[in-house]
Amino acid sequence: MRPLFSKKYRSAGQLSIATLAPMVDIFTILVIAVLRASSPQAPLILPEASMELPISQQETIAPELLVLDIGKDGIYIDGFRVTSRQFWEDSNTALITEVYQSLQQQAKTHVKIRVDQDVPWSLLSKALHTAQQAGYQDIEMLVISNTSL
Amino acid sequence: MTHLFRKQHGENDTRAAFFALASLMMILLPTLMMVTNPEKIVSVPLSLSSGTGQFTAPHSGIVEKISVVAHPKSFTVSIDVRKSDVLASSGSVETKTWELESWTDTLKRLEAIHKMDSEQQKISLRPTKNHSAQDVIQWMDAVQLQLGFTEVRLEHPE
Repeated sequence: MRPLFSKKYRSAGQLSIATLAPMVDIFTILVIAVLRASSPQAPLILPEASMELPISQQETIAPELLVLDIGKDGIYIDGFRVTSRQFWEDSNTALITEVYQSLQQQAKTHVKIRVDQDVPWSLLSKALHTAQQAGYQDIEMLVISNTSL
Repeated sequence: MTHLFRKQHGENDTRAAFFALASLMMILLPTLMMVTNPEKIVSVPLSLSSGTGQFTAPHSGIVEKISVVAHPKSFTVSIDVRKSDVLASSGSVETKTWELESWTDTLKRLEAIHKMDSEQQKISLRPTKNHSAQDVIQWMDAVQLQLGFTEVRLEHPE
């Protein structure tokens, strides 16, 4: 009886460690994966629900600054609609006057641009040109990292 | 008996440590998932060419300028290479151009150019007016992260 008991006790102990070890490994991997794929920033709030940001391989975390949005329907500054997208997409003018005026009123030097994935380069370049003309030196585009969950 | 007790005590300690670690992980993982944002927002610096004049002094190496012009279904890569004449100075260049059908071929060509003059970090990219923001970001990612060009200057579509 004695050897049987002691063997049983030992095997139960080994089994629990053997079960826990891979579980701890899996949890560790999951924690690292979550930490790598997530961001401590506030959840993304876009002016249009259907708007989807481009996806990039870059790793530089974006600070919170003045934001110029180009959605599927309109152009927004800090969440407030300033003009229609379609009009400026069709226009031959390089300077988006409403955006230019709003940016000048903000009187800053850094601006972030968030655009829908499908925004054509013709409109995006107009927005960049407008920001440059309004005196903004540092222009960055906010995108979703391809390491996101 | 003394030996037996000591051995049992050691096994219990290992198990307790594993339990503690597993419990910590079980608490940590859901907490992390609750407090963090699954969409990681990153930024890509954009630089738009003014079209008139140059921002910085021209590169003094063999390849003075690299530009990529996108067409609806092809790409044109052109470089300004300093002439092989020993008296050739900065600005005394000849232009070489390649017409390429895919972005993969374009990347291969740019890689070969970058090997010719690895000091040249600037490249200009001109998408067409119909290329999407996602296309532009993909090209910038490839040029910056795969090939190592640090300064990508975008140009207005013609």
